[in-house]
Amino acid sequence: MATLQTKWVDRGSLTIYGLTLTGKSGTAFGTVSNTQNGSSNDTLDSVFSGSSVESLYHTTGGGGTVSLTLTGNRPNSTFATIKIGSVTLSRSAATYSYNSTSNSTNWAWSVSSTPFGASNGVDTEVTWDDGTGSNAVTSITFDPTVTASTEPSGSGSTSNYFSWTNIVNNVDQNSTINGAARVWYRVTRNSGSIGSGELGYTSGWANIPQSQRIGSTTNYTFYVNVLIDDDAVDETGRQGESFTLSIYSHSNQTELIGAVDFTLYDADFSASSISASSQTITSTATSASVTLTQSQTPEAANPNMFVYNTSTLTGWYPSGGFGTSTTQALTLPATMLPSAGDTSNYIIRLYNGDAWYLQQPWNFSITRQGTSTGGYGVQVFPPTGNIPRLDTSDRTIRVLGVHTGTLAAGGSSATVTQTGFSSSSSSIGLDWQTSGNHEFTSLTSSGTSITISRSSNDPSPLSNTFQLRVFKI
Amino acid sequence: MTYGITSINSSGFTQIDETSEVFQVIQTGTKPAGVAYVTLPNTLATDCLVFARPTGGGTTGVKYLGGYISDFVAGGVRVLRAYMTYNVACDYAVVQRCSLFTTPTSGYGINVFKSNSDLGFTSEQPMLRAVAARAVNFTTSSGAFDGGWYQGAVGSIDAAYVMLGPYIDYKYEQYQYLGENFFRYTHRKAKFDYTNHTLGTIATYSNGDLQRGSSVFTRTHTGQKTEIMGYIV
Repeated sequence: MATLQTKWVDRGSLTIYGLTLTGKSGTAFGTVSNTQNGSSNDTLDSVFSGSSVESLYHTTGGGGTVSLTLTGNRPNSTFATIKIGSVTLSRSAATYSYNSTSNSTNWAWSVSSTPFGASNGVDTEVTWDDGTGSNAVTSITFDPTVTASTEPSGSGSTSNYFSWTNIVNNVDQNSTINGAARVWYRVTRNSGSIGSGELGYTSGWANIPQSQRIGSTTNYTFYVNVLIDDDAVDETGRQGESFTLSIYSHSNQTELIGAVDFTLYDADFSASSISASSQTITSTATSASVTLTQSQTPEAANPNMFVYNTSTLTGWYPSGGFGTSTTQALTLPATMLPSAGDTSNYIIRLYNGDAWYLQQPWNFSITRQGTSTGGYGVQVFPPTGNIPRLDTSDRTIRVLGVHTGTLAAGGSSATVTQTGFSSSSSSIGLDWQTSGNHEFTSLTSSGTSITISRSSNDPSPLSNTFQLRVFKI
Repeated sequence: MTYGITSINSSGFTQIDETSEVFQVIQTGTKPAGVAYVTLPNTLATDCLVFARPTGGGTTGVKYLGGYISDFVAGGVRVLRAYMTYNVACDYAVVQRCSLFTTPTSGYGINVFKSNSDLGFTSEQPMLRAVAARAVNFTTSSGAFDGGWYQGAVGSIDAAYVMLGPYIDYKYEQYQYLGENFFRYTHRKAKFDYTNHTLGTIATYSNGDLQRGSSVFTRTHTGQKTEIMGYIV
């Protein structure tokens, strides 16, 4: 195996729209040099004469990709492998392309985790090899099933244990973990902590099952148990704490195999066992006062609470949250109350400023005095079983109209008239689609006219059909 | 009223009347995981609807499901497909207007006819009980996402189905940032939260890189649709 050229990538990173890029890209982030921590030098003359490294980075997009872009139009040959840190990638496994617009050549590999390590500013060695003199190697990727988590024991708790299943895929035949009995792992806290006494790092051995130590296995599964000793101080604003789980060679605890970031959140704004007394209101009441009680004092002021009428499905009624109190009084308006002689059941959910974090069927009911004026549907049972085929609270879907037609290529539209249609009616439903790509189509309406349009941006030269179904519900 | 019956549910919505016909089940089946779609008989009416759920429903955990109907002509032959999330095994049910069924003559239950003598409802045919519905309007700025637009009691969504159609690729973007080009799909998916007994609609994303110099644009699927949750009984 003959090395063509060695470079070093000083890791930079970029996060955009949920994508995280690590490595080097143009002048945006990261640098390439000839020596570790050396000055910037993008040239790659020993691999392709006159070429330079435009970008070499890992992106989390599409399940993970390593992308190498060189200046100019370069053939898909010359080098056999590129080794980034401990990850070796075969050129033959790459997707190769040339972009005449930017006059650059790209190779892309599917790699789930970044080979550029966990921290910016750290250099990773990159080697281009012609593949001669030894067996070509496969790639190593790291695919732990760690996702953003919420601490299971709540905020301020300590000694929280976490356990993850990790999979190391496509292990290089020459990898140091191939045939190994175990790997070394380490968890480090990155940012976002509040207070003191939180995790510094935790580490240990993760055993690889005997059945996988046969040398020819390319996917290794093992388990990591991590003890995180949280502090007793709440986060504010639910910003989370960022950690990195890194896997190292069992024989050399500095030889990084792979790493992944994950985030833990304090279970702020905790609330539980919410209850309210059911009540009866007068037949003419225009509002109802409800006092909600919960058993746990929130750890921080929760900002919002919503109440839902499960009987009339009239939507979520917003209210102030519990704050730091165990009780909250609210006044439900007439639109949230039952009709005369009826009973409505209610459910509460809480919002922490970032996401719905509690939504459980904490029911209470309100009954309005008086005589019901409504008919109550029918109940129909199938031949077997005791589950109604149609129940008194059900709605049915009933035909109002169906329309079909053709949308020509290059931008076109079709307008139909549907008697009885109203875009604002809660008892009218719509379903429609075209035979083309969704992102080029739209529907608008005016009165009883409904128009389906196809954008002129749609590059397909084929005509599309459309189906529009209008129904009562 | 000369014909049939009128039945109004406890919230004031009409269930059955003499002027309309309900949708009832003509076909059920399962789409295995690892398959993108099922092909439906091309003799089905154009206004058929398809409902689906993760196979078997559930009692705990969260599952996501996208899907829509594709009805097109290829080589002069109509092709009718129901697409559902590729890696999720799904139960599905196809419903069609009641008048397309042969009037049951078992002697049990009820048949309700419309004023034009078409069958409008029959208790002999399984149907979709619509438990909850909401109108949604996609715009260039909103995909009408709500992670829990229906909150039920314990067990209320364990066996629930949703109507395929609103769970499509809502947006496709190509953008450039610091010299690099990317794409992103925004998918609408139904969220079955069996643990918390909620049904919602969430966005999932597919991201990726594009070659430098790629075009920059955003395409959005806009317009009104209806989300429906219910049971097949």
